Amino acid sequence: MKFQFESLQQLFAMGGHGPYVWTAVLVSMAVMLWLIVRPLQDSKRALKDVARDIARAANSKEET
Amino acid sequence: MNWLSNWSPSWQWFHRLGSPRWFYQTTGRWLPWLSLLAFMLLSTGLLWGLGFAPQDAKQGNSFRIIYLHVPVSFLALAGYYIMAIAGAVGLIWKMKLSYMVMKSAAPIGAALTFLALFTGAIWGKPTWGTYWVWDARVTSMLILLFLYSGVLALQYAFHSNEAGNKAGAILALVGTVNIPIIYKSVDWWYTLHQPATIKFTSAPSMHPDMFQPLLVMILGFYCFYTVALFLFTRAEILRRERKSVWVKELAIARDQA
Repeated sequence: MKFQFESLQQLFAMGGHGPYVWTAVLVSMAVMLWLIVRPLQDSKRALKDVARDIARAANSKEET
Repeated sequence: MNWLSNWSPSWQWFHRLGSPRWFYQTTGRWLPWLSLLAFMLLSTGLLWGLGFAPQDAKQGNSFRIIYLHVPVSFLALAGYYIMAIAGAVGLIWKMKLSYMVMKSAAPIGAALTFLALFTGAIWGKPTWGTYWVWDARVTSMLILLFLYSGVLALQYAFHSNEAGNKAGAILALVGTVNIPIIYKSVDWWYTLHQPATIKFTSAPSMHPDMFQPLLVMILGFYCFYTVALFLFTRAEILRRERKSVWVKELAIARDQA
C-alpha cells in the first residue's frame, strides 16, 4: 500500500477531480458536525431552562 | 395490551429499556467510547480511501467520492428501518421512549439522505456529465428525503405530542414501501446509476484494495449514526421529561458545576 500522490498539490488537484472530491468531503463534514453539535446545544439549553425555572420558583417563594 | 405489562418479571427488561432515565444514563456511559471509535474509524477510512486506495481505471480520482457516498446512503436507508421500527413499537406498546427515538431518527435520516443526494450529484458531474438526472435510484432517494421531512414536520403539526407521534409513526410505516424500491431500482430500471457495489449474496464487485477502506468507512458511519441518534434522543428526553425529579436534579447539579 502506498500513498497515491507525490505532493500536496497533487492530492488537492486529484488529476482535475479535486474540486468535486473535496467539496463532497467538506460538505459531508459540515453536515456531520451539525448532527453532533445541534443535539448537544439542545441538551445544554434544556438543562439551563430547567435550572432557571427552579431558581425562579425558589425566588418567588422567598418573596411571598 | 394489559397482559403484556402484567407478564413480569420476564418483561422487566422491556420496561427498563422503555425508561427514558435508564436510556439517558446508559447512553451517557457508552457515548465517549462510541464517539472515539467512530472518530478513529472515519479518519482512518477517509485517509485510506482518499490517499492510499488506487484510483479507478475508468473514473480516475472522482471515484473516491464513493467513500462518502456509499456509507452515507447505507445509513440513510438503515436509519429508515430504525425510524419505522421505533414508530411501530411506539404504536403497539405506547412506549414514549420509542417515539422519542423515532423523532430523533428523522432529522439524522434527512441529513444523511441529503448528503447521499449531494455527494451523488457531485460524483455525477465528472462521471455522467450532469449533476442531476431523474434516474430511478435518484428519484426514490429524493422520495426518502421527503418521507424523513414528513415525519419531522408531523411532529410539529399537532398540538398534542401524542397525535404528532402517531401520525409520524403511520407515515414512517407507510413509507417503508419505498425501501425495496430504492434497493431494486438499479436492477429494475437500469439507466445511469451503477448497480450496487456491495451485495449480501455475492462478493463485492471491487478490488480488495478499494473495498477495505470502504468497509472501514461503513463501520465508522454506523458508529457515527449511533452517536448522533443517542445525542438527539437524549436532547429529546431532557425536553420531554423536564418536569421529572431526575432531570431537575441533573439540571441543578449541572448549574452548580
